[in-house]
Amino acid sequence: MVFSSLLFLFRFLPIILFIYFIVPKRFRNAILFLFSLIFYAWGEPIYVVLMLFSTVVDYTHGILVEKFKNEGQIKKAKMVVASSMTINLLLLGFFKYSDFIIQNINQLFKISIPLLNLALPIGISFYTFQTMSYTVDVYRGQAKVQKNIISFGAYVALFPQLIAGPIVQYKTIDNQLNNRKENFDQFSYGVMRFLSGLGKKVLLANNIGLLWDTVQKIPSMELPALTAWLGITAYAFQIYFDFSGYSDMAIGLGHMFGFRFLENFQYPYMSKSITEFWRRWHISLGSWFRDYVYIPLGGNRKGLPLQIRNIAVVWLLTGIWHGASWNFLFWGVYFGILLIVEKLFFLKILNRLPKIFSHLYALFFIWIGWVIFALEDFGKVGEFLKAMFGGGAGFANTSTWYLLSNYGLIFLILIAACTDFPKRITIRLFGNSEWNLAEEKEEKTIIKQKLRIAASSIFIVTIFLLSVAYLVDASYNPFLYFRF
Amino acid sequence: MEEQKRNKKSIEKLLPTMLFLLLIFGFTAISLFTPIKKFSENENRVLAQRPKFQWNSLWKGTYTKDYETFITDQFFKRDAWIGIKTWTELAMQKKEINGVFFARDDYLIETQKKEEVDTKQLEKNEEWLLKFISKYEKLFGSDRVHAMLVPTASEVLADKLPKFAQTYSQQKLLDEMKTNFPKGTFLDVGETLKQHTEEYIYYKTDHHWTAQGAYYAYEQWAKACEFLPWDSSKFQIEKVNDSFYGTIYSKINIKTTKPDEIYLYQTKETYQVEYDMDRKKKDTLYEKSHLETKDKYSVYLDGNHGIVQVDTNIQDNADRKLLILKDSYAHCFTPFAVNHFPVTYMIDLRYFNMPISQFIKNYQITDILVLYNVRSFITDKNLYKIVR
Repeated sequence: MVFSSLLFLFRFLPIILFIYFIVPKRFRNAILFLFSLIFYAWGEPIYVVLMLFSTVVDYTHGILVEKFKNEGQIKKAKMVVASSMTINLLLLGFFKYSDFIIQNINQLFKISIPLLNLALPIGISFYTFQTMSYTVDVYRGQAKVQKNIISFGAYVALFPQLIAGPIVQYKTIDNQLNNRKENFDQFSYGVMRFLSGLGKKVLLANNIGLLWDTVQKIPSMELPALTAWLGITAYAFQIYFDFSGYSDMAIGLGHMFGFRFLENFQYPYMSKSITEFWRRWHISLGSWFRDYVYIPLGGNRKGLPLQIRNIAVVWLLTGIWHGASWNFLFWGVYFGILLIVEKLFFLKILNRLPKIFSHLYALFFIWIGWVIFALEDFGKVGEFLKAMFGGGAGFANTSTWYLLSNYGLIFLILIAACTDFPKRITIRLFGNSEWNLAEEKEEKTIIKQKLRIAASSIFIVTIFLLSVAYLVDASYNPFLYFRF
Repeated sequence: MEEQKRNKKSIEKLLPTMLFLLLIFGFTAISLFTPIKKFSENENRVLAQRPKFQWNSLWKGTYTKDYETFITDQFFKRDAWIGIKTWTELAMQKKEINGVFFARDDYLIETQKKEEVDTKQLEKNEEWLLKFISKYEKLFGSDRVHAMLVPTASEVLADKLPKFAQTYSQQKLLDEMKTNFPKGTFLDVGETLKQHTEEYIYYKTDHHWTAQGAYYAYEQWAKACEFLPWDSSKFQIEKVNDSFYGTIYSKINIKTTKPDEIYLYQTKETYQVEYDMDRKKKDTLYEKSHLETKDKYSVYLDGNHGIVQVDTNIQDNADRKLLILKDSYAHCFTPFAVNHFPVTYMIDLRYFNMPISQFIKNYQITDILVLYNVRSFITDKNLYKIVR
């Protein structure tokens, strides 16, 4: 099931909200667990077993780690962690990468091992990463062991972040699992977040996605440079608003049920370097690799050569995490190289240059990255890049102007929406408002508060009604993360 | 103090949050209690029904998918929601919405993109049509066998499209096809229609041409058959409706334009019309009961039927019988053509399964017209039947 559907809004959500809040607190995790399973099984009735398996594995491993640690048998505890890692990675490897590996072996040795043709279980890359983090956190003493399998199941299957993240590390919601206090303020904030996410996905991402869809279908020989740039810009906006929209919805839903997930996006397209971009884009994935790969490998503490090796490893993995295909691996390597170059010397130069140049530099390389990411086939990537620099069909043609006339206004809206401009303007107009959970200063006037109530009510109703209208029409509403 | 501040904040959030809950629970309740509709007249299609629960279909994932389609199809006020979407898109300055151009002079025109044309199907259809026409041209002669592919509004009314808008060039296709066909058999009505773009030759809210548009094509066809086309003054042109919102309107569901008008071309001749060989003779080419429904274009020869037979009291060409193989564009064309033959058959390949060669033999057909609009010719999946 996905959030951006009538099914979710008008069946699943009302039912779970109702049941969740009428049952006594001690049953709430069970309700969450049960409904999360339904949420997952709706689209993947068989693979839900896989998720349950992963849950049981890490539940038992967690307990074992704790037991051995208490008995002082650190070596055994380590073995258990290794076993958990192995099982999770085998699971992920088997379902996600086996066909990719078979294909490459076939090609390399000119043989033909039959493919398994397994459908990728949705969200497997997210939940295996979460369950692994649990066992490691317990081993490191950063999290308490979870003795209650229902609570642990609720953590693994938690439907808000189940299928498209953010990747919630166990230690960050350890306490919340059994001792959270749902309250009205947090619920309201959750509603606001959920609706901004829904709007981002349904109204912005789907809309501009159509443009990328159109441009993608144009043969590269007929593709003028400007159209190619419009197309890849459309993709950049689509994936950002889609992905961060999902994260907003996840974080929002989390708040409704009393959880506080960490932020996953922080205006990535405002970055002034690639290093900064990756601190602002899919933050939960970056932190996961930092905490469970980069730092264990030694991070930056063992000298520059080893640090560069560590960066390289992390980025190979980051790339291939996004999908079992060479282009994703290459995409990771591409960013790895840029990050190493920045680390070695370029960041120092960038800092001295005018801001505008740094912004353009970052966006340029992010955009080229999206070409590699979106097109999946190296031949197509090459042709598209060529077209972007005039090697397709000149600079522009009639259809370029047509696309611009159709999408010009939407582009302006998207450009504004991917910066912190809307947030700053609402704060200026209405004071420090719903958008921010931070404690407010004393109200200046009662008028400002009334304005705020009016504005947020209008915001909620408008976004909601428009999103429903787009969902009823249901012409274009893709799920972009089926390869993750 | 802390408590007080908290309360103040909560009050502030009360209204927006309550609105959200109201919307979620309210719409859920409404959508649960809205009666399930079988058919959408507006969209002219059968709506998805509540799927039957079966474990088997649940495992396969079809149950859940069907259930989602069911909710979407049956969502209350479905058409109004789509209208809201159209308004939003218009506000966003979109020139085409749901595959519809908002063109000049209040025309709604379906888009046709080059990339979307299924060239494989098109090539096959061209091949079958050419084979069919060539065969009967040899048997009956080039004045008796014709193919007419009518370009749609996106081609003929191209000048009315939004600035820079581009569509698939139907004329180019017609030009190419023309050179392959036996001389005189391929009637290119594109040029003819383009001379009348300021007249009411296409509906503004429907994908069909009007009877007036069909009349100009009829003139060209009659000349190709070496008949004298009936002058338009010979018809009594009757306006029977002025509230027609057609199929293109149904894609966007907002009334930015006035409704279309429907005209019938009446004559003093007598007709006997029999649908699907049901032995019930009707004495008119026009079924006015459809004017009370949404699908008003069906007034012409009662809409879609596998086979329609029209007998007339016309004395010309007494020994000849015309067969029209067609899509719905023929429905307002045939009323002109029947005036040259004692008997005319109209066959829709979608609903007709007897081999056409056998039909032509058994019913002693002497004249043939294949009439499709270009869009449906390109996508048609039944043309293989023409060569059977």
